[in-house]
Amino acid sequence: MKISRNWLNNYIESDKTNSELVDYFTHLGLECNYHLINSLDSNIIVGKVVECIKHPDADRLKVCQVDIASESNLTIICGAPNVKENILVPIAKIGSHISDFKIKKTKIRGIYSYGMICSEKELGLGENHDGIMILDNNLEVGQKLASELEIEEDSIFDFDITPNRGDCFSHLGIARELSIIENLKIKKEKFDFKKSKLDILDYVDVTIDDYDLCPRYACRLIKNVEVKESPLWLKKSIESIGQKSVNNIVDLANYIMFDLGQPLHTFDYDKLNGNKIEVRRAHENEKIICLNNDENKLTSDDIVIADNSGPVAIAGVIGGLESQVTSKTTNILLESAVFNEINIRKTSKKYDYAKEASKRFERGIDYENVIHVMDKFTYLLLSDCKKAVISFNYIDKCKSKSNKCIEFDVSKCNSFLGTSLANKEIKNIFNYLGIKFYDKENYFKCFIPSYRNDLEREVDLFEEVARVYGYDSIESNMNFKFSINSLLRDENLIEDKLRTILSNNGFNEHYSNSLYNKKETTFSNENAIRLMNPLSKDMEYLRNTLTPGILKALSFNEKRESEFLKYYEIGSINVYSKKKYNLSTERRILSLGYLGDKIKSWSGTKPFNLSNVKGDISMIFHNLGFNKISYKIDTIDNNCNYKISIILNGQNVGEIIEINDSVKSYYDLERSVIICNIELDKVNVFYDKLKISYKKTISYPSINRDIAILVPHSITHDDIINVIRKSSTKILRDIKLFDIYDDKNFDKNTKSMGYSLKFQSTERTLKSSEVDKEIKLVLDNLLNKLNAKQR
Amino acid sequence: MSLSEKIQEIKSTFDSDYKSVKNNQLDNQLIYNKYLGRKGLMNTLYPLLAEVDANKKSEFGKKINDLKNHIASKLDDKQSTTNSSKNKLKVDLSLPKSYDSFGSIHPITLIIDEIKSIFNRIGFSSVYGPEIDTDYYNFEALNIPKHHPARDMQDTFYINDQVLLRTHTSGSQVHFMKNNEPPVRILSPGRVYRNEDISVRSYCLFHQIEGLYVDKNVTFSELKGTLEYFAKEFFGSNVKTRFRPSYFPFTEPSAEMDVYWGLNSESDYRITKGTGWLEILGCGMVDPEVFKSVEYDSDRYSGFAFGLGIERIAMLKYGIDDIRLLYEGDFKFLEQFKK
Repeated sequence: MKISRNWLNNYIESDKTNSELVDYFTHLGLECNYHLINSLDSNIIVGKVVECIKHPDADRLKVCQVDIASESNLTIICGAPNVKENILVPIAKIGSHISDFKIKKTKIRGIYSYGMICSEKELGLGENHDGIMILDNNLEVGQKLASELEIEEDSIFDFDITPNRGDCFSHLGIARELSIIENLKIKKEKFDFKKSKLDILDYVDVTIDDYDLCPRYACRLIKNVEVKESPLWLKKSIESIGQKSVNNIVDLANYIMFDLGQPLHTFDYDKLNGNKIEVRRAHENEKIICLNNDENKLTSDDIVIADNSGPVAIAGVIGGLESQVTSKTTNILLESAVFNEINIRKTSKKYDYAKEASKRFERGIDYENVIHVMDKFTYLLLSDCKKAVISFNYIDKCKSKSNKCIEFDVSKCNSFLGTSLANKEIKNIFNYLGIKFYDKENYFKCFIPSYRNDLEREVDLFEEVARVYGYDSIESNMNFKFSINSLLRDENLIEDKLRTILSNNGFNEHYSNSLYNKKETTFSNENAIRLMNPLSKDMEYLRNTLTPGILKALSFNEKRESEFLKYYEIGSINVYSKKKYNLSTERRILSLGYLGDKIKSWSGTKPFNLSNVKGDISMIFHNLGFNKISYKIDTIDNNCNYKISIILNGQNVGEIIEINDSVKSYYDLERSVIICNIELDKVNVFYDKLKISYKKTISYPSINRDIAILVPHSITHDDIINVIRKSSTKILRDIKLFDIYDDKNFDKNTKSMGYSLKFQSTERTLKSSEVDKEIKLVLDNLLNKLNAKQR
Repeated sequence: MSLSEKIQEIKSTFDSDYKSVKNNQLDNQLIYNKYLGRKGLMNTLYPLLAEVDANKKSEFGKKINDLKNHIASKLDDKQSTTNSSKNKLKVDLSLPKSYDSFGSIHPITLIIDEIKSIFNRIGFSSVYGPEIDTDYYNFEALNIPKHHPARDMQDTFYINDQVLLRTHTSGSQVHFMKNNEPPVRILSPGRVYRNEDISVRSYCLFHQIEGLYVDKNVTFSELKGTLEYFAKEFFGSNVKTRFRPSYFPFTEPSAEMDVYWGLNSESDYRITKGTGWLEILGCGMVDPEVFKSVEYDSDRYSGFAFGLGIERIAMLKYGIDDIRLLYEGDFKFLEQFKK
């Protein structure tokens, strides 16, 4: 919200600089910044073009001689199409500043120019930049432009008012805050004006259906009004805060709103049908054509002002086209009212008319100020329209409203804030805030000013006390004390551990956008959650898998010619779950992504494939403390070449997939991509139960024996291990695969597997003969059970 | 044998031993232990010193020390000559690592971890809330009823009338308090969503950390102390902070904490709007309405809450000028961030 400092001076004057004020307001909770308007450099003066000839070396430039009422004329080169002899123009002399730009003596195509003739826009006086600004002929040549045009410099403060402070949405409201800063009272205004014998009751009869919808409705009749251009002061005022001037009536109503915070509405009285004005809920589907020509169908949530024939305005939001004030209007009905905040908000949201008026109604109006506001409007109108006739009375329908009263306990306030404020300080603060009170020892009975709709509870007054006393003046307590009962175990510890493991092993952590398009949700067969109001079709679903996020990142990098990459992301996925209160189940996932099938470096190119991925997964689980994971080939879907399940303690905890060509082309990927997704919630259950128990190391020497066997291809490493383990149960310590060999000389279906077996006893040194016996047993069993022959 | 003879004897046996050391027939360390070790020959001399006449004590003391120094310096020399003669490793130590990625941790994680650890030290425990939540937890229970102007501050993605993507982590407060009795001292990090167009400065999702402390007699002064401690730990002990009034429906009084960033560059002017101060977090005393929602007795308990945006802090700390970089996954960006 824009506040003009000159305007503010009507209420209270301050010697503080603009930036000091910004600081003070900020400390009161009113964030703002400022800029200057109409600040014309005093070196900008009125000049008269006395000669204007074409530049000898440039078609579009003219060489002007400009009279500035000094001994000699200035030579100025000008490119504007409208420059000519015998006009008055603004001249920026050498040394003057035009915004951030300093005017200097410049040579243009061989001729020196001693200044600049300016456009409206260059001076910040308007938007026109088609040519130079041509001034009225009655201005005095050589004089300062600012004083000749009666331009007043002003500082405009732009406030970011928090939604609770409806009372600050006006110059008066900001003046009240400034009075706290300055410790000064604001100037009180009273308006007397000539009233006629006109009795409004002969013209208007107001009924209010429900005072909850409209706690107060006042109106006054003003006849013989002349609708015309606004007087200069009014125009300047509203333009200074960025409003466009329309006519004297509209501008004045706007002025009053920005001045006092009360939106007004003016009806063309002669366009109203009958005497009756009714404030009521709209009937379902009732129609109104609004000021902006929209025809709206109303519902019973909307409040309307209606005459005999139907709605003439949507209360507090927008007027009707039919009854609006036009240049032909002579009699107006002026409305000043308070409407229900919630209804106004619903209506303004629905029709998207969140404008200045409804913004104020939504945040609460000063109930007590309704008549004063009407008076000020009338008074100012009369000073402009001398012939206007004012009804001697006005209509004021209202529900009686008692002053809000809050009990305040000083010691409670001090123990809440951690302060030790004396009663006297509290009294001062209440005085600053315009809060009247009775006090008895530590207790205050506070009467809240009618404009402070936000103060309702004792704690609200604690805030006011803290705010005026100054948050920075309250001492900070760093004696931290906390109860052991509040300490909890971090359920996501496993994620911190995983990040350390992965990032220490060359993986790069990625965070992806978790909003997907429909296609991207098909990487999982679980239902994704769809948004009602997505930003775009591309971000319509909440992710149900992390795979696409990783793929997009890999694709982004492949295009930038990155080498082999290892990425990971840890994040939440959500899947639809009808029974849950929030319709979804959230799970934590770790996703790994590999781009490329070889790792190049100066030491040679190494292939990268599934076995490396398995190596990483073993490494990860091993570092988490799990000894054994296994894998199972899974059925594939439309997205992959293969899919492998990761099994931990008999449970499927994740998958490894290689992305197929169609997905690769969707993401514009060329190199091979392997993705691995791990369900962290499942792993976490086992992780929580992990216990390490130390096994005694054996000091007796071990004996190693290698065996090589020929087995059919269909026999897996696991099959062989199982048979070996079962054959020798007591002294076999360890089995290591050291070789897999495929030779043309073998049977087509046969491979050779080499194992190194380690034997060791916990009680004594083994004899070679014992081990021989075990090896024989192992080989016999391999032959019998797997048809594995020794090579 | 007199002490003097004894000293002489040790010297001559050492000299002969030292020859073997020089020829690498004997190990340096072995000889060192034989003479200078805890049970070495030199240490057998000191008890004998006690039997010497008082006036001769210093003379013998000096002799023993001289011999000790003699042995030590010889063995030291030998040590250094053996090392240099052995060090014949010839490699190009400037060669790079054979695989080019060292791994990295995302800046958002780095900031969350740092903030968590700062608050963990003063007893805040981490808990987590759901990304998909209801209007009740995200708004109503936090004293933001339907049609409250504060709803304009947060554009929301809806799944249906009642279910939405959380717009802040403040809903975690409600979840936690509904299921636990005071004292409460928690931190809740997580991802939140806003229906805002993606640009250099804003993204449709970001991360927040929520903090909450509820107990008997919690004061605004402690809120200030806690957050000033945080600022000192995070930005350095010289940081200047200020608190100014603000408005959040779920806290009363509400505040924002700024840190002084300075005005040393053009970008400082831009990000601080010319004031030098930078808003870091929002906070306040828990509003009695929130306690009512979770059935806490606001006459018995008080508390404070705070929330900060991770991306904003990450961008400030690392000088990142475009929020989208955080979600793009560019390797050249990510690889710069380590623990």
